[in-house]
Amino acid sequence: MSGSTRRGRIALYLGLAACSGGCTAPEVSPRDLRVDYQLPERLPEPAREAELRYAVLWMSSTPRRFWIGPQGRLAPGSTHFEVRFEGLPELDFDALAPLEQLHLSSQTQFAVGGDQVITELVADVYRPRLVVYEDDNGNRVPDVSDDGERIVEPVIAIDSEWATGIAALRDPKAAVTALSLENAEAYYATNEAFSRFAYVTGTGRLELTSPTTIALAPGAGIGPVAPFCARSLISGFGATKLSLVVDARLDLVTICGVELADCESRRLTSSDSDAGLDGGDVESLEFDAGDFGAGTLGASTPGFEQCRYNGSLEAWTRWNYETECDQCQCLTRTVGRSLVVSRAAVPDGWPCGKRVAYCEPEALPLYSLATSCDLEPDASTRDAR
Amino acid sequence: MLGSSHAGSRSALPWNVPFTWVVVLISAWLFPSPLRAEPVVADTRDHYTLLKQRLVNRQLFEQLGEPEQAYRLGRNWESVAFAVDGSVASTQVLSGEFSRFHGYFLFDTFTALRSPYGVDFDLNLALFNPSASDGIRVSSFAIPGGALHFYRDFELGGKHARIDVLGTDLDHVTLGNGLLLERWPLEGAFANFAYGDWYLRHYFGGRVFWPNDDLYTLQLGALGGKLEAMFSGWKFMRGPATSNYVDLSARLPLWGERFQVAAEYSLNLREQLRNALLLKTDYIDKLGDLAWHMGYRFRWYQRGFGPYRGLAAPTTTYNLPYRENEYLDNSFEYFGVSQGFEQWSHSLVAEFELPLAWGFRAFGEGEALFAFAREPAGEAYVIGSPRGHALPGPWVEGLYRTGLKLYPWPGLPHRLSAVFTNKQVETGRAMSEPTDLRFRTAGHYVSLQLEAAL
Repeated sequence: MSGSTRRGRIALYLGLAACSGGCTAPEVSPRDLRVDYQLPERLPEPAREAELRYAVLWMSSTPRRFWIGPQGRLAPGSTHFEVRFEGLPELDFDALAPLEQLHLSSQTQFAVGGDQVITELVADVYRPRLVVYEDDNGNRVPDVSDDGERIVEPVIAIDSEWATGIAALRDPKAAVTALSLENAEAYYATNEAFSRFAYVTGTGRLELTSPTTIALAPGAGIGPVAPFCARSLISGFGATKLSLVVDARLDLVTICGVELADCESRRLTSSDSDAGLDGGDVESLEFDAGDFGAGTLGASTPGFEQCRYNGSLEAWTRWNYETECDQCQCLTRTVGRSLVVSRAAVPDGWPCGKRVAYCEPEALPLYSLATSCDLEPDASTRDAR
Repeated sequence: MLGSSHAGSRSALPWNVPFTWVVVLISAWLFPSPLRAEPVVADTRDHYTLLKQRLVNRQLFEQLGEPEQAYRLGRNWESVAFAVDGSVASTQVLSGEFSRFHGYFLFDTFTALRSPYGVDFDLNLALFNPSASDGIRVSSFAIPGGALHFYRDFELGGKHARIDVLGTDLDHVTLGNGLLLERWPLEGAFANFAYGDWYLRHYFGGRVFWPNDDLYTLQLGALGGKLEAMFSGWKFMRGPATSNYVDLSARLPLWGERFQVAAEYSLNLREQLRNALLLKTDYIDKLGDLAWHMGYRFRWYQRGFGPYRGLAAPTTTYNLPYRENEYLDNSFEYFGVSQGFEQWSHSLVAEFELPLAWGFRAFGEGEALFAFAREPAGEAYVIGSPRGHALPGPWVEGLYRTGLKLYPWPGLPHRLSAVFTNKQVETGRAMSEPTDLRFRTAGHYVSLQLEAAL
């Protein structure tokens, strides 16, 4: 074999090997996500002629606009149904509101001492809401009010604002490719395939979570779907708010000092008897939803009580959480309200030492929340159990 | 876990690949050409390149005895050999960001003590400060690599035989032609029995690509290493199962060793066999005063061939500036995502050095890497590689270094260089911190360098 022939054959073999696997690699399309939803146990009976349907709602804020999809019919008597998230309906992702940030993390290798550094990565996401509604007019879409603000057909179930849900990523490829290989492996351990949609959980800080059945909450009585925003964003925790009601027989300034502005003097005991507190007055001072801000999202959150004493004073405090929202930005804070009386003149019906155990004195102001003591659920919470 | 449920890949071994390999193997047998006598046992430095090949931390006496090392001051001391390659560089950014090494000094020192009866002490001590910006000597490091080397030459059946046992600094190791491991710093143990043109060789390396891995090999070589069969195991502590490989490699130097064709085929013996192939051709020559080299490489790794059964980026804990004299094309860049994708690449390399006047030389080094990653049909995975490429899909990188070198003393390697490049060795804050990036290539840099060798 001549040298040139040998060289030619070698070149041929190399050329054949070079493209042996093909010379192109196709792009990967995001996969569908199939999600199992569970209906609430008690659903109102739909009107005879209406059928139950589900719809995934995508909303913008200003001007209010709804996009719908996917949607479908629920089989009569079903307790579960599957929704297939294939892609986004025709919409402008930037117009959706509120856009949220999904927190991903990625490990980098440049840590001092060999530890890995967790780099915080965030990806823009939108969490559409899923509603189950009565299709009163049989048009197979949820009807929107004339002002575009609400769904007018009866919504009988809706996904929870605070539980595990489905989020759509604005740019799934960018989000996933930003992950370290180790985190990408963790991502695929739950998501199984590359998708525009992901299971997320959390309030304020959204994170990926494993696939699960999503339980819907009853929708009866919730009124229009999301009159202000599709989702509320818990954006932080505000300062504790405390108000005191001090028995009029006590010195208000001595107890409240100058820092505690929300301090009120009121007669909690009868004027002619040390032990003559009017039980009705006590009841009137117990908290109701209004004490925690009407219309706020957190009004129904469980509360708890605490009784403490210090010297001759005794305080009964009820604590709760309050969430106040401005548009879709919400702040959660702890709200406390104390009744302060003399230990020598507690009123009838005073719960301390009876229904509510005392928290032993410690080096905290009388009306502070002593987390070292067991926190008693308040009456409304107990009733709910 | 990614890939754990994937029964198979649709890619089968292309029909022409084993055929090509067989042709090269037989050619190597039928057309033997004398190999250059290597002064270093298991010298896996790349001789088909113009990229500088540093000394190896063993048999320093033999290396310094080579004619091209005649300028070394420490080559004629009776029982001691000493050499140092020094470099100082100041790098400025044209675009992008610095790597850690940007205003550095590096003294790569080699010391060997030799007994008269076959024991060497070998010490490679790297002294460096990666950044003058850190403050005076704040980041200065001394990193020793030591080896004890026992060896004996003897006659057996009228043929020369030699035994070498060495550890722990194995310097930079290439297995086969580099399909599994290429120019990779390794610490562990090495044993070699050479008999005529044959050898039986064993490597044990700890911490290769991952913090919890070990690598061991058993290699049988013929024709002075032109043909080699290897069995190797890549195992993991508290990690995925061991990957065992059988591997065949061949090198065929032609035309007075100016041209080389090399091939390597490897099989991962996991539950479902996984194949890989490497083909390399290189031509190195001089055209008048112009020294030049061109090379082409083709790599193909079937999905799941890599040793780690999962997605985990390989990392290196030893990245010094002289590793710029390595190619980007390396199994390190493929094994992190091997569980997810079938991968193949075409790599072109070219270097030249041209003497000008008054001691000046122009030089250029380039590498173009065209790589592809493909997922098996019916699956949907997208990930980002440590180098920042979205996979699956093609990815392309081009690396260059070019500039002028001034050799003030004719015949001596000391030089001053002005280098334009987009290739910088990456490292963590401390060099021993693991990094999954070997090179930073996101910018363009100009670097003034002083290099000397004594």
